[in-house]
Amino acid sequence: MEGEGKKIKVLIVEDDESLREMYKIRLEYEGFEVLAASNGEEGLAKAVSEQPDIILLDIMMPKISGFDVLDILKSTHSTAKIPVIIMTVLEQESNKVKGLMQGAEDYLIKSQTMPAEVVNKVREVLKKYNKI
Amino acid sequence: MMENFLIILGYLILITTVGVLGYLFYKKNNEAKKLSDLLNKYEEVRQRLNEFEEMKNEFVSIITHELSTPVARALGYLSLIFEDKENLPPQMEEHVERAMDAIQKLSSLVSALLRASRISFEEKQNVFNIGPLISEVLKQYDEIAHRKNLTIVFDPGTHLPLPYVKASPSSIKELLDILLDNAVKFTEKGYIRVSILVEGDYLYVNVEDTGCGISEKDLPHIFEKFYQADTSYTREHGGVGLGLYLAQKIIELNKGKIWVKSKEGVGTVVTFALPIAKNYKI
Repeated sequence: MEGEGKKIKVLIVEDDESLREMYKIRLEYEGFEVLAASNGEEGLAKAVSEQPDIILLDIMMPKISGFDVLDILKSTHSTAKIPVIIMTVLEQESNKVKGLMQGAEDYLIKSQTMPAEVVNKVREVLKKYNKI
Repeated sequence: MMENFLIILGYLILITTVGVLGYLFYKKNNEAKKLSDLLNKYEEVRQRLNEFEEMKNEFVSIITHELSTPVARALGYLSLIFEDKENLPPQMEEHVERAMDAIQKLSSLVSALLRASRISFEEKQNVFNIGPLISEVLKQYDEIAHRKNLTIVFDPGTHLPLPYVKASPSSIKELLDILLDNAVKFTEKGYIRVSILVEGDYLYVNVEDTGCGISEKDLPHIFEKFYQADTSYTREHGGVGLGLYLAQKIIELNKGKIWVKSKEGVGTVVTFALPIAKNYKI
């Protein structure tokens, strides 16, 4: 269990249902409370209303891309300070640089980062933000 | 009598001369037209090849991206099973490991395919300054170098301003990516140094690292397709053994040379040479 009674909230914004479930299973196993959004709009709405401790954000999504979601998160007062980890299949360095420059804490390639590693990265970032 | 003969002769000569000149003029025009037709046809074919290449690249880009999602799913779920290996029946652990290895290989191949598809040879400019290109590529490694506590140094040498090289910029960018990727992957401490040397008709670029190096046994084989040095590093880092093979192909296509010097436990230097462009207009 994380914390004392109050669970850490992780918001996953990912349009692929199978991947969303996969990360949810692993994070819940570690004692996190997991919220899920299947597109950018839903992700933004939940970020504002639920105030998660950390957000895992996909990039290639229909309608509004993860980069745009990140932009809006960082320029909205109530969500600007929530740390974001980008999770994507886009391997190009230029995308990674873009993500980090836009304020993401980390940039993970889904096909190269196993769910257990994602959990480690989440812990790393939460520690950095003194949330655990 | 004589006068008439001379007049007729004069006219004959005149008509013949006009006829010959006319024929020569017609022939030259015809050749010019043939040349112009050929040039037009060449331009048309080149245009079609360009379009085809663009279409192919877009297709490869979409497919490789689409391939990555099921790969992420398969690997992810298998790793969830693998984490629970104590509760698996005896042989199951090995089965799962093998399945994961196979998919990881698939993933590396997709990456290699994507990389290869980014190389274009039909470029407007194939004479360029390699200095800014190296700087641009090195910048992208700042973050990971910082995390691994490595120093990255760029030494453009003393022959400044750098002469332009005759090569395809996008393919050389991929080449640099491959070499720097390797350098960073196999170096845990110290530095990576890219330096330039100009000599004779070639410009030489050295990519030097203080990494684990390549054994004498592996050195003669490193440019071979799918060859991977048998170290714990390669087993840990996966990959598919196509990096240096592709690098060599890129160099060959650009009429350059590439070679490697290495010492196990000390480091590696990969050097490639590109022909200097002569009489170019900037």
